[in-house]
Amino acid sequence: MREARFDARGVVRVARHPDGIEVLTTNLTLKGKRFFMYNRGQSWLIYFYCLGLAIALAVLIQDSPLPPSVTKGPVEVQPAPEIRGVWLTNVSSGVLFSPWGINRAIEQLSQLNFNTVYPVVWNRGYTFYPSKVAKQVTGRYQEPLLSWARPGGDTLRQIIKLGHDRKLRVIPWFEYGFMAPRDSQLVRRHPHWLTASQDGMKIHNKFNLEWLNPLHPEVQKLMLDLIREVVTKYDVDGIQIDDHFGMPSEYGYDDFTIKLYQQEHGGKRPPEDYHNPEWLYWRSSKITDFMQKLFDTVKEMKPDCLVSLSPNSQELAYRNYLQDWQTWVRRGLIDELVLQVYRGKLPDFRAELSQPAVKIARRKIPVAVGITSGTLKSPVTMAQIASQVQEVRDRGLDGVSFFYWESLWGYIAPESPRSRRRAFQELFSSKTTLPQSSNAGIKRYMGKTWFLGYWGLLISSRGSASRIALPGSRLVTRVTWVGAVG
Amino acid sequence: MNLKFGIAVKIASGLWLQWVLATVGGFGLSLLFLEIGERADMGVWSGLIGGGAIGLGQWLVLRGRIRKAWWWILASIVSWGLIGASDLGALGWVAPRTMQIPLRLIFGFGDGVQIGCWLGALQWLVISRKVPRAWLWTLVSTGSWAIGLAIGWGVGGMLRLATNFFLGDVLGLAIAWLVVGGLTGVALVSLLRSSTY
Repeated sequence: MREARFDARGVVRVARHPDGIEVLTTNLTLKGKRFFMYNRGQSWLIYFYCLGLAIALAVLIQDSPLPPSVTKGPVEVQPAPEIRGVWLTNVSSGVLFSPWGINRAIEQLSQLNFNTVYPVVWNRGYTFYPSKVAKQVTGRYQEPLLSWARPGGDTLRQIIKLGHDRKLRVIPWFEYGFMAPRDSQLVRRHPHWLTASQDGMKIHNKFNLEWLNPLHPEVQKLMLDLIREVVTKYDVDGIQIDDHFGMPSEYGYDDFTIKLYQQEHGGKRPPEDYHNPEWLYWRSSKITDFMQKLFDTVKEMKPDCLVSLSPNSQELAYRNYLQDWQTWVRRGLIDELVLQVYRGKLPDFRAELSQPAVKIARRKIPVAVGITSGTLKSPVTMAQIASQVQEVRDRGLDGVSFFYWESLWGYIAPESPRSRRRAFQELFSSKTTLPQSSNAGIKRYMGKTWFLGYWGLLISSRGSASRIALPGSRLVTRVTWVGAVG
Repeated sequence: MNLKFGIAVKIASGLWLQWVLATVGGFGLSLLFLEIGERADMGVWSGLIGGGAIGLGQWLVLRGRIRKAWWWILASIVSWGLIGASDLGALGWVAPRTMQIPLRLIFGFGDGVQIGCWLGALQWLVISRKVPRAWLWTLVSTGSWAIGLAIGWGVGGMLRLATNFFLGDVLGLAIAWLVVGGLTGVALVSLLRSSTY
C-alpha cells in the first residue's frame, strides 16, 4: 500500500494490483474549487437531503386518499347503523411498536369508514399504557417492549386522541383477562393468586399460561383498579373484556376456592367432575357477581362509558370458561356484545349467529360479530370476509369487528394490501352511525339523539319516541340526561 | 503474486458484497415507505420513492469510487420514476397477479429485460465518462433484471402458494433484488477495476 499525489487535487490512498490500482479510502484531503471527489461533509448533506425527501414523499403517499373504486350512484343511501371495529393487539403485530404504526392504522381505518377500535391495554400481565396500578403490582409501568419502542410515550392516549379526531370510538380491550405467563412479574410476585386444576396443574394446556383466580378478592381488586384507572385517566368510550375474562371450567381447585366452596357447602369439597352442573353454576355465579362489581365500578365513574364483552358462544363460554354472559345481558351488565365467530365455513358461521342467546341479547343491546380477518396460522381470503359481513347484515345484526388489524390488509393476508383496502372500501362505502344501546347512555358519536338514562325512554331528535328500552340495569336511580345533539 | 491476487480478490469481493448489501438494503429501506402491490398500483410515485431508496443505498458504495456519484441517485429516481409512469409499473415493487409459476417466469423474464434496459441506459449516462467499456453495464443490467425478476417472481409465487400469505411475494421480490445485486455487482467490480476512477 502506498500514497500517490495527484496534482493539487488531493491525496488518495490506493493499493496496487497486477491489473491496476484500487482506491481504498475516500477520506481525501482536498484543496481548490474543483473537487476530484466529494468530501464527507457534503456527502452526508446529500444523504440526509435524500432521506428527508424520501420520508416527505412517503408521508404524502401514505396520507393520500385511496383512489375511488366505487362508482356512486346519483342518490346516496344512508347505510344502517353498524359497528365497524377492529382489534389492535401486540401479538404478532407491530402496530403499537413501529413509529408510525398507530397513525397509519387510525388514518386508514378512518378513510375506510370504520368507527371503532379496540386497542389492547392488558396482555400477559402487562399494561399498554403507563399504569401506577401495574407499577405497584408488577414493578413495571407498562409492557417492557412498548417502553423501549416508545420511551416516555403514552400509546393509549395517542390512540384516543387520533381516534376521536377522526370520529372513531376507542374502547380499550383487556385482552388477556386473567391469563398471565409463568415468568411474568405478576405471577412471580403473587403466586397465591393463581387457580389450579384438580391435579394441581396451573399452566393451562391450550394457552400455556397461568390463570389468575377470578374469585380471589385481591385479583378482583387488581382488575377493578386497572379498569378504574383506564376509565378515569383516559377519555375512553368504553372498556372491553373478552373470553379470557372467566375461568377454565377444569380450574377452581386451588386452596382459596376450595375453602370458599366449603364455607358455603357445609364443609363439602367441590365435585371431582368439573362439569358437575352445580359446581359449574357456583363458580360462574361468583364470576357474574364480580361482573356486577365491574359494571357498577365503571358506571359510577362514567355513566356513559360502555362495558363491552367479546365472548365465545354462550354454551362454549359457560361450559368451558364459566362465563354466563346470557345472564350478564339479562341483568344489564353489558352494553355491547361482540360475539366471536371465528369460523371458516359459512354454515358453521350461520349456525353460531342463530343461537338463541344471540337472539335474546339482540333485544337488549347491540350485538356485533367478531370476524377473523386472518392470523399467522390461518390466513383468510377477502371473499370469506365479505361473505361473512354480508351474512351479518342479512340477519340485521349490529355490525362486525375484525380480528385483527395486521391481517386486515397487511402482508399476512392472501391478497395484496391495496386490493384488500379496495374490497373493504366497497364493504364500507360510506360512514355510518353506531347502533344504540338501551343499557347505557349515548355518547357523542351516536348522531342526533337524546337519551334518557339507563333504562328510560329513547327519543330521537325528531321528537317521536323511537324505542322503549326494557328495564335492564340495577342502576335505576342514576337516571340522567346525558345526550347532546351531535 | 499470490498475496497480491488474494488482496485483489478480497477487495473485489468486499466491493461486491457491499454492492449486494446496499441493493438489498435499499429495497428494505423502500419497504418502510412503500407497500408492495399489483402492477396497476405501483405507479410513478412508487417508482420515485423506490428508486430513491435503491439509489441512496447504492450511492453509499459508489461515492468513494466514481466521481459525482450522487448522479447515481438521480438516475435511479428518474429511471424508476419513468418505469413507474409507464405501462410496466414500478416492477421492482410489483407482485404479479397470476399464480401460475411458468407464466410468472416468462413474464418476469420479459419485463425484466425491459426494465433492465431502461435502468442500464440511464445508469450508463452516469458512469460512461468515468468507467471504460461502460456500455457493458446496459447489457449486464438487462440480463440481470431478466434473470432476477424471473427468479424472484417464481420463488415469490411458490412461497405465496405454500403459505397463502402475500408476504411470499414480498420475499420473492427481495430475492429478485438479491439476484440483481449479485449479478450487477460482479459487473461493477470488473468495470471499476479496469477504470482509472
